[in-house]
Amino acid sequence: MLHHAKVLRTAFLLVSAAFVAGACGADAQESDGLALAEPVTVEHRFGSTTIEHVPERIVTIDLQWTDTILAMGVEPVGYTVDSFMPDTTVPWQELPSGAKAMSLDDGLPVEEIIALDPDLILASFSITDKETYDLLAARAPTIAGPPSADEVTPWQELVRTAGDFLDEKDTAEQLVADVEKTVTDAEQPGLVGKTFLLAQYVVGDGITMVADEKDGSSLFFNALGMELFPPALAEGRRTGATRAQVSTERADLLAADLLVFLVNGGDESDLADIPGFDALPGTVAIADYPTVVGLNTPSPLSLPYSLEQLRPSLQEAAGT
Amino acid sequence: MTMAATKRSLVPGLVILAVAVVAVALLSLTLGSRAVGLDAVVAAARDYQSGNSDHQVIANRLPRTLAGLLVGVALGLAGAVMQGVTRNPLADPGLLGVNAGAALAVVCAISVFGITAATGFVWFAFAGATVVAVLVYAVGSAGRDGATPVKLALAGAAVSAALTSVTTAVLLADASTFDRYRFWTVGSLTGRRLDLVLTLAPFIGVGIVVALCLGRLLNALSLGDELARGLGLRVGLARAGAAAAAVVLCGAATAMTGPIWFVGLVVPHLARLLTGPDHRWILPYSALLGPVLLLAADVLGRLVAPPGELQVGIVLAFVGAPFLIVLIRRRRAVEL
Repeated sequence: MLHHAKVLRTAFLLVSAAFVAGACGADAQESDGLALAEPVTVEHRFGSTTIEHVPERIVTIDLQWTDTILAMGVEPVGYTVDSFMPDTTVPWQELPSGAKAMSLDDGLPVEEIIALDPDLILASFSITDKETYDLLAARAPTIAGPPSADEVTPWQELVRTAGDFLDEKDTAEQLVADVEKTVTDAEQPGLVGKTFLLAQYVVGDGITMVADEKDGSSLFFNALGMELFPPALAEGRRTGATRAQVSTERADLLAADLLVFLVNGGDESDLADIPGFDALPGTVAIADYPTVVGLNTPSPLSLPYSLEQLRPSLQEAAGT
Repeated sequence: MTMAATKRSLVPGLVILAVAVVAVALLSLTLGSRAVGLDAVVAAARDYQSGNSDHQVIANRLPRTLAGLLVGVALGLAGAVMQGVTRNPLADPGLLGVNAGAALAVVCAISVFGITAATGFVWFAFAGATVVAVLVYAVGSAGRDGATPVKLALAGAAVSAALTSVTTAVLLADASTFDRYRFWTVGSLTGRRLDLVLTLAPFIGVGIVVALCLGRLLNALSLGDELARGLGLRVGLARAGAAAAAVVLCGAATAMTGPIWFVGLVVPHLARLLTGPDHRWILPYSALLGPVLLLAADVLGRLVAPPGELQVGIVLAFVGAPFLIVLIRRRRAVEL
């Protein structure tokens, strides 16, 4: 049923969007799932959202949520794809064929999402403005990302939230335990105290490195007992930024015990632009885009994948 | 002042500028995010050791410096020629749509043909620049008076605006192309390979020789079309030939580094300030001032934000804009 909602409703209407959707749409009423024993309230960038029913038609925006929902054994009715992925597919996902893949290239596809008649919309960072959020939240309970745009929600928190609103708390705890075990199984005494660095060379421009010990990727290496390469940490503290820009002439700033490196916009032959790269003292892992994304915005599915890709390098770094 | 006297007083300036070019080139080899001494540069030149990381850094600065020299000369000359041909003091090499054409061609190369290597899309940039310049010239030449400066400027502005909208439309619809394109469009001398520089060098070389010979012709054109015709000049042909030289220079430069603004605009003004209105002197002065400005800006960009670097295009925008304003305010820009 076409429902020409006035976009700007009162805050009250927005917060109780679930009721509004239920009351206005005949279809929506059928798809209302089981009422949750205790409603789940999630704080996010544009306020807080309360989920009252177990959702049955979930749309996931951004990888982290798609992964989390899939890992919980639920199929989304629609999900967004990352067009930078080779062939736009994520190697660690097995997506249901019935679900609608949506591109973010032209911005968030609000109409496509609403056409899927969702009863829950989940996003990490691609809902970037209040107006878009309001459009979505007027149709279904919507969870936007964390308050700060460059913050990454820990994957454990996503899984536990999903466990709450799916009424599958035990499954969630089990999943967290399983994935954490996969990571800790990769722990090796040789890695403890070793330094790590995640960086990329943007071909023809310069190097960007992660300079924040609380970044999603840093947490993964921390779990293995490793420490962020001190020069990178110092640079991050000096500038207050989570990413530091480095000239191609400063290979000395890449000399961590383990360097995970992405060549962005080129191939390994472009490493010749960085004098001294071939003589770096530590273990150098040239990673592909999915592996780095899997570390950068970790999910219960991406972490085991990225870990598997890095395993040989981790072993090498531990051995030295 | 007699012609001979003018010449005598302007020759030392050329020598000083030539020395300045050598000096900034040496600075460009010596200064950077990683400090290496001049002695290391000398040592690397005498006996290059591929295992020495100081030597590797210097070796990597060599194509970058060469690119800076070539692009600086090319843009300085192209700007001087373009301002002369169109008798428009605000003309820069982009006026004939060269940058807009190159940009659209690069976007098509990435988006449609999936070409992402710089050595691949330089040819698109070059071809795009040429085709669009020819198109602008054809549009500007239509009508009774042929290619007058005003019509050329209007046609260039209109075609540039149209092409830029197409480029923007493609980029909006194609995020992955945008990701590649944005690094090209910022204008940078980083990571230019020697093979890329050497591939484009012959075009710039030919352009330089042709442009330096245009002094007399541009002087005649600056008298106005009627007088120039009176002097026996075939105005349309002269204008087209001179514009072609500028397009080759600017197209090759843009293909090498992405669009770089201000050099082509500011350098001819500086040159005229030193030489007066004689194009036989404006052209060689512009050819030497261009690389001094471009390389100095590049070196500055390496030093201001350690351990990162600022792209030369951004430094030029910061340095060039106020510089141009001062230049115009200090005295009325030397009339064309």
